[in-house]
Amino acid sequence: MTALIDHRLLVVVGKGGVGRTTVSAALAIAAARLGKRALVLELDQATGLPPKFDLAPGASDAPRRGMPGVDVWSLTVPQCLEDFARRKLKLPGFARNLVRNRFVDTFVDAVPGLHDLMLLGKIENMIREPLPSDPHYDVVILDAPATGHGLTLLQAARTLSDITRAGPFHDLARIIDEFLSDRTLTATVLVTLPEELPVQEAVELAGALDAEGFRPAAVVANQVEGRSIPDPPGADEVLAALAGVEHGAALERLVRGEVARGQRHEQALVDLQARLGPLGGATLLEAPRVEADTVRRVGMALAEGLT
Amino acid sequence: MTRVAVCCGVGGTGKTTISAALAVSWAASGERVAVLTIDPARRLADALGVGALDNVPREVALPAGAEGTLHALMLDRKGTWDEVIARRARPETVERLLHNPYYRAVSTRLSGSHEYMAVEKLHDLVTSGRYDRVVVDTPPTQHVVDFFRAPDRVRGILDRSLLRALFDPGDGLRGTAARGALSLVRRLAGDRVMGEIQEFFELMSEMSSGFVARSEAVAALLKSPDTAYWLVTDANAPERNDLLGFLEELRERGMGFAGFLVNRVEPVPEGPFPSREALLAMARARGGDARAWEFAVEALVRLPEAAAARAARQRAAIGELVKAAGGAPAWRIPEVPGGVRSIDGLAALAPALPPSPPAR
Repeated sequence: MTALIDHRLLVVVGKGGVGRTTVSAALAIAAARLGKRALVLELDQATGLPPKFDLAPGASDAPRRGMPGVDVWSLTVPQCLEDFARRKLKLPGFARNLVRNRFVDTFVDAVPGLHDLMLLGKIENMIREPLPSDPHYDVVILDAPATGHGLTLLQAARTLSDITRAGPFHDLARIIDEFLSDRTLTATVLVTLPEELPVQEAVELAGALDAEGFRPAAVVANQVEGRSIPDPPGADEVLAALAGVEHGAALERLVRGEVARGQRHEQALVDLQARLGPLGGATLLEAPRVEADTVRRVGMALAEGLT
Repeated sequence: MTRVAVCCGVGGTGKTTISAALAVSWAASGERVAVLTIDPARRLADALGVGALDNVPREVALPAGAEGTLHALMLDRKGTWDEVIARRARPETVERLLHNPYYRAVSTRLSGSHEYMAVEKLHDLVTSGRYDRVVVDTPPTQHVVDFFRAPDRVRGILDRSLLRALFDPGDGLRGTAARGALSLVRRLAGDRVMGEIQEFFELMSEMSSGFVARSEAVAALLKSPDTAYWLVTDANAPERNDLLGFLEELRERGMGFAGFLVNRVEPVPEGPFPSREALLAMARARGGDARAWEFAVEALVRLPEAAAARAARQRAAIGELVKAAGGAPAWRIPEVPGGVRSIDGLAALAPALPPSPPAR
């Protein structure tokens, strides 16, 4: 089995608010720490990724340096469409004008899946048929959109195959689907939080991904907090001791809250582990909760889990 | 007259839960409420009795003492498309559309069609006359403005002008450019799919006057003074620029902003708390591993500090948001450890929510 970080593409999926962008950035940092050159991507209208590396949000013609070993890129559809016209259709310079035409635009917008396919096509190209001018990346990490929790993106190629059934778009769709379905090349990474409801949703999403042939290779429990009451002496002993202290009751309430949260997190992680069992072999990684999104620390922690 | 509360916000803010809590709260105070939810977590769906995805409003049992009624439904995008065409087209057209691969893709997978269909369904609920208020949860999107832009996009696609643009480019210079683009598209997509897309638009155009009339009614509804927009945000991560962009969009469209619903607000810890000295004395009295107790005491000292710092960060972020929005009202909804999972849990949030009718 291919180790997670040895895949060429990691697609990071999960429900909104679980921290996909943080985890995507952290995975890239972890990869760099393990000696890889990583590219981390967000698509289309997303803007959250560059700020994780202190870069201004926005699209650019080429990847930008986030830190040593990590490049960051916000890819847009027109860019990818142009690239497709140039590479696959061998359209010369005027292709630029043609693909920026309103009719082509309208068409791309009106065909479900085409939009996503253009983005994925560009990514697949960069990985498998890089031009001499393309920088080499050992691993590309894709911060997938929350819409449809990422499943829609992974299914885009099949959606488009169903519609077209022949022609260059169809061929591209087939290539992309093969690439995404090849478990030595592409791995799906599912992000969740260590709480009961997010775990429940993650398990459901994992099932849906599996049913489509995109079984997650890893699940990242994000924002895991360390034990806030040291053991020993342990929470019970501390609570007993607080009973005899002035103003102890106020502190006792906070300790109980912390203990309850710790138990919820632990239980959620146990559930997650147990319920992912049937999916066979998904690595469970824990990403620590950090103040003010210090992504670097999350990256370091993930690197430890990946070795 | 049915009033509408639209809950907007990016994914992960707890929008679905807050929409449901608003609906429960207003129903408890005597209104006939319908809540249109989108992709609720399983337990919430079960609590609301909308486990089945079938587009039909179902009555929800409210806690004892509730004076109004609550119906809940979960949006089924595909079902709503089929419903719309079934109502508007001749049976043979419906049949042909249902077999058109492009229609099948559009009705299940076209991005933006979820938003478009949410608005369609909202229109149905409002015109039924059965409710005093409809609460709408919006689909999870990257940016809050997508709720408005997406339906516009889908309307643009369904509009006849696109059909003309793609299949009847016209003469002159623009027509020539269009034909060039069209032949490129044809080359890329293949003739067959172009034929199916053309068939789709021809079939849809039979209904297009109906669509236009309906679009206008829906647009009027969204702009009506009886429709209020709430912005749900997470106290820990209010995406200020995104939210302010949304407010700007509301203003431009002449739509009424009702206020912020700030979720997951942590309580300010209520002291006084024991001093470090008192805790150290406690540790000494307890005996055992002195070093371990020292660590424990440091952890205990940090607990209220950390809680106070979290609460202060949240307060500051909310304050900035409210100020940037020109003093818009903000309702602070407390963090519920472990999440809300029942009707009683939803009802418990009522004191933190805007009363019925909300001040506008």
